[in-house]
Amino acid sequence: MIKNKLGVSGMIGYVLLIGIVMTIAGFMYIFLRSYVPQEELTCPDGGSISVLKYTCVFNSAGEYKLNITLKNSGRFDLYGYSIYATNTTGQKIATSDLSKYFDFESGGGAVQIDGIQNIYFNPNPGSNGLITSKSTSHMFKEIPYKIFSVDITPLIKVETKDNRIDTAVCGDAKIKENIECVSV
Amino acid sequence: MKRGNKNAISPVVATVLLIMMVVVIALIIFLWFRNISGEVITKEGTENIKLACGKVKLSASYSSGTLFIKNDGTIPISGMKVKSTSSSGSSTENLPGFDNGLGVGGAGEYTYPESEDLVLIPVLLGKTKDGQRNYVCQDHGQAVI
Repeated sequence: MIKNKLGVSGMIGYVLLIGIVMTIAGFMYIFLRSYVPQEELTCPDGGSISVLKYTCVFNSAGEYKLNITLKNSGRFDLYGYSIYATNTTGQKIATSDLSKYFDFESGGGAVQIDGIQNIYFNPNPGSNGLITSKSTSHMFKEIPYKIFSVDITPLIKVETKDNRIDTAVCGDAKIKENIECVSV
Repeated sequence: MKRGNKNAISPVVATVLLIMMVVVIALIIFLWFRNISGEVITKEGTENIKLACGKVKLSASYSSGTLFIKNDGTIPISGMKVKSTSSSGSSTENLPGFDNGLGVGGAGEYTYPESEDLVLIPVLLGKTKDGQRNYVCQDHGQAVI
């Protein structure tokens, strides 16, 4: 005959309840933590680059040379930029990378690193790159195709949440400049 | 025959059965859950790659048999699938020539035959417990034509 109608004691009931809740919470945490969005590396508003002037010439061999003067017209120092050109009429998106034709002697310390389609104004530690309102001229030479326009997208150094310095691409600050080339 | 004890099984057997059932169920749940968590593909730390798919930003246009694509987002694209529709039907295939992917800010042009509809579906490289794996962002296709 069973006098005590409780299945388990009150204490064991609580222990079981808390244990089950903690186990379910653990499972839910492991399962759902990947659905928490990570901080996206975004460019701050106010990053801007502009083309002050350019000259584009081509020779009888069909090689083009572009000399472009860029100005930091934004509120942040620019770390570098990417430059792509259109080489057919009516082409909407510039896809020809000009950085590989960059003339290292033209940029006052600017460099282009192989495999990375960007040009960095001055990547040395302590350098601020192209500071606000300053301008610089860069030369691209021996380009084997005609250029109709260039798309330039600035890069800015930003600090991440874990205090790392990373490079953000300012896609919203991309500019387009139509280019007309003359024969020499 | 007289039945004095109305219990079907003794309390000891019942307890043993109960414990065994709980252990077996817990084991099954554990194996099932380990399988699920092992399939999660992450990108940029612990973020689920499905969220990364939503951050992909592409500019694309098509002209005279050439696809022009630019990666305007902050996520590198490792592969590209093209869903094309023509009079003969619909097909999805890897974009020919898109072997090196498109890094952040990268651009490229690719030859592709003309069709009525063209949808670009990005493929991202993520991490799993077993190593790197590609994930096709099926729900984030971008119509070009």
